[in-house]
Amino acid sequence: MTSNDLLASIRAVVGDDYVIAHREDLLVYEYDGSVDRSMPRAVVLPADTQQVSQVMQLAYEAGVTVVGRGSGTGLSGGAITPPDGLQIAFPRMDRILNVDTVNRTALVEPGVINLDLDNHVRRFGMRYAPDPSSQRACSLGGNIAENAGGPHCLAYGATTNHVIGMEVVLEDGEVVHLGSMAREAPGYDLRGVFVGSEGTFGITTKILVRLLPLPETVRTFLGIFPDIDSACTAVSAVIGHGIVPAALEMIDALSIKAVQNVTDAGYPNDAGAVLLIELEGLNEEVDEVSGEVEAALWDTGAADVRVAEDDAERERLWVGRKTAFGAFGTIAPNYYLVDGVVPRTRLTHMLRKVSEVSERYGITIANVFHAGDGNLHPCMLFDAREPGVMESAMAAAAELMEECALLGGTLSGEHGIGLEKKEFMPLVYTEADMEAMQRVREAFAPENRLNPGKIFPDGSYWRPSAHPVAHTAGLYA
Amino acid sequence: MTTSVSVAQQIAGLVGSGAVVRSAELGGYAMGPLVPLAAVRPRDAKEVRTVISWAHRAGIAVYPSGGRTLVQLGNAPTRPGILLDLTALNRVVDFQPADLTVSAEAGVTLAQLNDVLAQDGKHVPIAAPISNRATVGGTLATGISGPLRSAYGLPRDWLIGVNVVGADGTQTKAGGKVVKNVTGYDLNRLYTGSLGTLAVITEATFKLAPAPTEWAVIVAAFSAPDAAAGAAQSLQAQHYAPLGLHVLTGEAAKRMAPSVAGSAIAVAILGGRPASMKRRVEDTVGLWVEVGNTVQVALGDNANGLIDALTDLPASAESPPAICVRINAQPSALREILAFSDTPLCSASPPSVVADVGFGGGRLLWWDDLADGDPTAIAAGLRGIQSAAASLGGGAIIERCPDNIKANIDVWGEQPSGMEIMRRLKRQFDPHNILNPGRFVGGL
Repeated sequence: MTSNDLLASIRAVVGDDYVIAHREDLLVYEYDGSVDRSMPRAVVLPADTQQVSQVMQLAYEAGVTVVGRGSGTGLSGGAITPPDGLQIAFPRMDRILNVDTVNRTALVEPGVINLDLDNHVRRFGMRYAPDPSSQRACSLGGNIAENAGGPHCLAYGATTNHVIGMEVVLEDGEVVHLGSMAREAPGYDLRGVFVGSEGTFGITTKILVRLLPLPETVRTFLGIFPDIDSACTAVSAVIGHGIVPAALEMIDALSIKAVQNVTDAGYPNDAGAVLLIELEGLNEEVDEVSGEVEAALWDTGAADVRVAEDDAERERLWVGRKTAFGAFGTIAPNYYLVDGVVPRTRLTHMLRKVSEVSERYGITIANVFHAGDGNLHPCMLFDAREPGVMESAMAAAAELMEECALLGGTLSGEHGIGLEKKEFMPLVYTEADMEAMQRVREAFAPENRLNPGKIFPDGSYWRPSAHPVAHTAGLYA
Repeated sequence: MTTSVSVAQQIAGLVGSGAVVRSAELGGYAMGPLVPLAAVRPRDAKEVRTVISWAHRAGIAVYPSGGRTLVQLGNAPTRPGILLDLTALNRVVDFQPADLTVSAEAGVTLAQLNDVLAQDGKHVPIAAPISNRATVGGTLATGISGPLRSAYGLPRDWLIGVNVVGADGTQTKAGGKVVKNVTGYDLNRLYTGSLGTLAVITEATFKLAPAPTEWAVIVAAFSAPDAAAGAAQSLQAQHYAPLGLHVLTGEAAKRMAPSVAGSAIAVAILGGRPASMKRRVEDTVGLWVEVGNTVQVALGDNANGLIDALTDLPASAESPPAICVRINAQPSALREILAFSDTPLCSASPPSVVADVGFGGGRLLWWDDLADGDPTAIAAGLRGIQSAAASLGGGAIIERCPDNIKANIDVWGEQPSGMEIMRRLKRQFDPHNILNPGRFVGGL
């Protein structure tokens, strides 16, 4: 079957309007939120599980690789499709099929936007806890593929802790259910290992997620610090007090400047760093813990500690945090972001390393990240048109990943390995470790037709071509 | 010829006779009707690798074993093999209170682990019956969970890293020592609950939580299970909903609350800091006192004693049930699960029910003497329960039953969707089928 025959067969399944194959139309599908690019042969927009299954079967029989795409906000190249590969995207499969208030679950299609689900279920007094900063754009299907995190994962865990069951389509078109309606099911935890498999095991077509009841009280603090070191000490002090807040985020001076350039989030322009801390729970509990958190902040050198007075102020503080990556466009045209994790007690050391690397390479690095769980996001800001700067940024990123590994940390906390970090996998895993992982992929996708060339080092890293921040405006890390 | 003596001698040649259990003691390591050819108790991960590597080459089955508290779980082993006792791997390797992580060897008991963590006000909120024997490795391999799972989740939700020995004796790791990690596939999840059929866990790293400083257990008695269910569900809907909430009937209720009269009890487990605990206790009592016959509050050690008792019910050391069935279902099936307490099992009486209100599902327990019962009829009755649970959108696992009944039933119930992927996984990880063969779902 030629490529054109395949597209004709796929058009017969999904309809002419839902296969995109013209070069100009494909431009928006050649990149995601990462620095990588590659144009797929075509993009297919199926309407339901059956169409996904039929399309996958046709692609399988034609020997064509398939890559699933959520909203394209991913930061590791997960949705980048090899040339001649087929991309499947889910704008038509964006329905919230059911909200169950008794069992506190929602059944959704993969194209549902994370924040749309959360807003929808809040009407019923519930929430969907994982809240990646891209939640206004990113989809649940993509969240599953990457095991997406977010600020509130500190208390509630990442996507994997909130998925009960899934309907997925395997590489040959077979439809399989993983997990069940109940939170426990016999057999291997296929659901658990599928979440975070970066689209290499199957394409998710339905998702049963767990919802949490809304807390009685939410209180949001802004701790203002003269420098990053003291803010890091405050993070350790809070956790050391036996307090795990709902969220504990750090925003450094450069990020504050970028954010305040685009929106008044209420961050002080002269701070060295701010901590955004959220407590949730019973009134009495939040009152009790608030006192301890405030004391810990003052004790570690806070210049000021503010409490959001109302929902509007709280929202403003969070909008600042979640627009930071878009706001970096006001500082430099390009960014490249590292997602390393270190044990929480090594944060101070790691951020000093970031600062040292920044000076040595002459690259501006901003830090806005999930301090509470040690998940850094050092973000290199540069102009890719300057000769050699992209290479410098990549070399600086490599040093930072090496340092994370040396400190007992890891390469990625929530963005995935994808293309960008795959050659760094040997920093944390042995050949045998990675072989064990590949065995799982063999079991799900023996022909390796789904999102091939990702996650594992194979020396085939596609040369990145950094794209301007303008392309990702509105996308956040 | 693989005789017991020759197998023991070969293993002694590999790891020394000190690690090999004397043949006179082998009876104590029986798995149902099967007595292992030999039992070996390696002292470190290297010896585990040596033994498994040898078994892989020899094609001899390896049955990994921890505290033997849930040794009944799974279909009866049919292939002769060796028992791999991991209880000598008993060190808490690395406790980092400020990072909220701990690494422990597979043979560390849950009690031992939480004693260490409690010194710094931390805990890993996983639980299994008989915590002074139940091991980290066994808890992960069985995926067993305790009465606080609705608030804290399952063992898989706390495991962040694991060292395993594969079927060919190769040591690998998954995850790491940081609390957030998407680097590579999440094999932690795959190994958890796989009953040792893919690899043998030698060390695990958990994320930790600050432990509640105060605990309370509130028990209310009701004239009927339905009334207890109603009271429990109204509590579950509150902001101050407890960490664990259960409805118990029959003998299970009597064992938990001997002095409380009623056909069913609701049990709420509360934990937290002093200020919030005062409100939690007062509001819970206030809600239940309106509807329950009696409401009792246990605090401190008394509360912890009740939590342990509830955890131990399915497999207590002193008087375990003859049959224990775990029902997996959504919370909305609470009344259907409680209705099992009206259904006799052939000649046996109806079961006691322990229903988990927040998480869904629960257990059916029989303490009857089943010696006179017809095993095929009882097995048929249990299959009926499995079908009934499946029709509730879940399933039923026979966690424990006499050998003669087990011989007549697949304890895991209907094969789950994805069975073919599971078979391929097993072939990928254990091509010679030596790890705990035949005991898991679908004969894996």
